Amino acid sequence: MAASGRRRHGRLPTGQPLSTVSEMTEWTSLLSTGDVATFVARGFLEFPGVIPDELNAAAIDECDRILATWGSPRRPFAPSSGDPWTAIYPDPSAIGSVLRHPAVRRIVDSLVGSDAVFDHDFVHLRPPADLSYQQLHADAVIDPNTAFDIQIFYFPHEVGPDGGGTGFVPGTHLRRVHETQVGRYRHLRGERQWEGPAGSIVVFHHGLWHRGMPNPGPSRRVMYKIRLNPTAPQVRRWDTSDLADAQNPPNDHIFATFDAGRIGMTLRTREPWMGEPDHRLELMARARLWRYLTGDDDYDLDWYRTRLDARVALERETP
Amino acid sequence: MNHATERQQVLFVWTENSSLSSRIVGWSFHDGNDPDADLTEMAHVRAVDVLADGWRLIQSSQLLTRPAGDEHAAGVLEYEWLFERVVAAEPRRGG
Repeated sequence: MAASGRRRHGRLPTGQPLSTVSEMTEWTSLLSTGDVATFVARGFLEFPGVIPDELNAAAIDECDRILATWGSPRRPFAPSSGDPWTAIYPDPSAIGSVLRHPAVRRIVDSLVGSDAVFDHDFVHLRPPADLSYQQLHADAVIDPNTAFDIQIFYFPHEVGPDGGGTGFVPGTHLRRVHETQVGRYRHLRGERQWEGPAGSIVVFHHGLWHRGMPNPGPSRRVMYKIRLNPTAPQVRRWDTSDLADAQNPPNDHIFATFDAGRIGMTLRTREPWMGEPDHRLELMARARLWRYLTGDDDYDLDWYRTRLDARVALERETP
Repeated sequence: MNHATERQQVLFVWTENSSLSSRIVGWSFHDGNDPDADLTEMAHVRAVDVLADGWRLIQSSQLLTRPAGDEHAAGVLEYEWLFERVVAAEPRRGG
């Protein structure tokens, strides 16, 4: 191996473009069909700089108070698992103001619904010149369900390339792995490390592989993370006014005929770490998730599920 | 291996299919001289290129048939190759 390729605690490549997120000037609208399809395909959406500076400053102060009192009765506004998400961090909590900001509320309403409940949260602190890092992991435990939680990452201050932004691997969220079972993977092609302006929000599918990264820079990095559980089916919660036109028929087949203007093209997004066998299984998993989200039991990508389902039916009919 | 004068370096490589000639999609580097070492850039395109760089292949993942009823589940990366090479020991830097 070329010696020049070896660096310690170097930054991850960040060559991937921002996820396709609708151009929003009105935060009161829900996510679009394209946004949700991107979330299904890649496992995350990012919204740089959507929380205003004055609220970010107050939220940093509150994060510090939470850190200083964690696990004690003095912790301010401590929510409990199962609390309605609309009731946690009541006024005058700055964290609550962030969570109820229209730019965040539209994400929650669109992906897990306004009746979602609090799972847990944490304030993640990376001191300056902290070279420690987490192993790659998926949160919680193996989860075979199609219904999903979301995890919201809030970065109240600017995070530079050397600022210890969260590392993650797009497209890993639908794989059935157990916590740090994936810790052996140090680098996967297409891996990302968050960097962006103050007040940024990144939302993950709960299964996305991620890790805390070294912070070799001079700035203290604070990040607030919260996990929310749905309590009702996550079916067509977003702005579905364009869904009928966007939805592709089950026979939209990349090896036959297909419409490049339909949502199937977004759902087929292939990450650099995916080989052909991986990508095909991901398409089957995404089609299953898109069936759940749209309530369309016949939805398919590239005929994979339709072909198999039809043959199972034949076997059932065999005398 | 002479533990007084030599150290092992290991390189995990994951490829996009079961061929050693297929594209590298992931890697992890470990150096007996430096427990904190990392390799942030992969210079090679295919796993077989690592061989050509002088590394020795010491293990590959088994090719397993997926169990009935679980054919479409994806989990950890399937195509793993483990390379090693032995290098001169350097003065201890910790660990």
